[in-house]
Amino acid sequence: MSISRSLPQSKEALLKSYRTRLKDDVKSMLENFEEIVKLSKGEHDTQLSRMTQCEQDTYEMHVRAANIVRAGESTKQAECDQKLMSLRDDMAADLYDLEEEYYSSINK
Amino acid sequence: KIGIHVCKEKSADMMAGRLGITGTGIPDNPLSISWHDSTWIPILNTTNVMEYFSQGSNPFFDRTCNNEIEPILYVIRKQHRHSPQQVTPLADFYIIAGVVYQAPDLANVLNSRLLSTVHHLQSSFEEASGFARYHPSKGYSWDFKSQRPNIDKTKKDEKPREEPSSLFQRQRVDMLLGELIKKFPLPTPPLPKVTPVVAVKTETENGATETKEIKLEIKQEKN
Repeated sequence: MSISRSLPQSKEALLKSYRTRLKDDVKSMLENFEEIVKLSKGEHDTQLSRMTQCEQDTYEMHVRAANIVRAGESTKQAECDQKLMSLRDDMAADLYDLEEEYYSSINK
Repeated sequence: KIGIHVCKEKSADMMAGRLGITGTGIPDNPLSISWHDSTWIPILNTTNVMEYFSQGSNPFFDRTCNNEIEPILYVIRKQHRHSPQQVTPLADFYIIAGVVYQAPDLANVLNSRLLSTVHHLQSSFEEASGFARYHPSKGYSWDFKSQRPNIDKTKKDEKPREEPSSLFQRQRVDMLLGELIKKFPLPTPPLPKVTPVVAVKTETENGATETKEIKLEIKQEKN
């Protein structure tokens, strides 16, 4: 059975940072997606000439798409780190049990 | 061209070379020469100095410069007059060296500047993002070296060409295959107790090989 320990301060901070990072990434993805859809409306009839406005909208959409990709990549990295961390924790727990077993048997 | 520019062409003419004057009239070493006209010197002032400079024998003066047209720039304004004191300008025109243009309004200038700015940003962004690479474990990196279009072309060239065969070739090959099958008959489907048939050597005579094959087959049937 795994032993439940009170999490040390650094771990709390680490978890919190991960949580905020994920929140920001998801929020950024959603927001950028919304903005892209809004931009694709077109026909705003602003003061700029149509060509300039079109070019500028295209560029903005490109940049927002790149933002979405970046947020997705950051999420992927967080997931990867999460897997590695859980693996490490499992190994540590098993190692603890094995060491306990080993040292208690020697002492006998 | 506005003003005077120095020409650096070398002349093949020996006479001109000795004097230091090329075809355009401007000497090779203008820093070492000087020119003056003694009749003008006592009456020189700011108003007639340009005329003095454009005198014929002066080697510094370039005849093709725009000083011939006097003055070079004219600006024309088209305006709507409401009263003797109140005017609304509608458009401006400018004439440079005899060519007439309409001056653009502020909106058009801003538009064109913005357009070129955004276009340059866009193309540089696309090109740069083509070089970026990402891997969850390795992180972000740049990859400038991979060039794909050249590699694809070389692969296509190296592929061996397959030309269609001619009728003569097909007939000949069919005949040869038929003869080979007569000499070495196709192996029969294997029975459970059969020993494998060894491949016959081509050195033996045709008759000998055929009898050997027949003997083996008879043996199998007996078993």
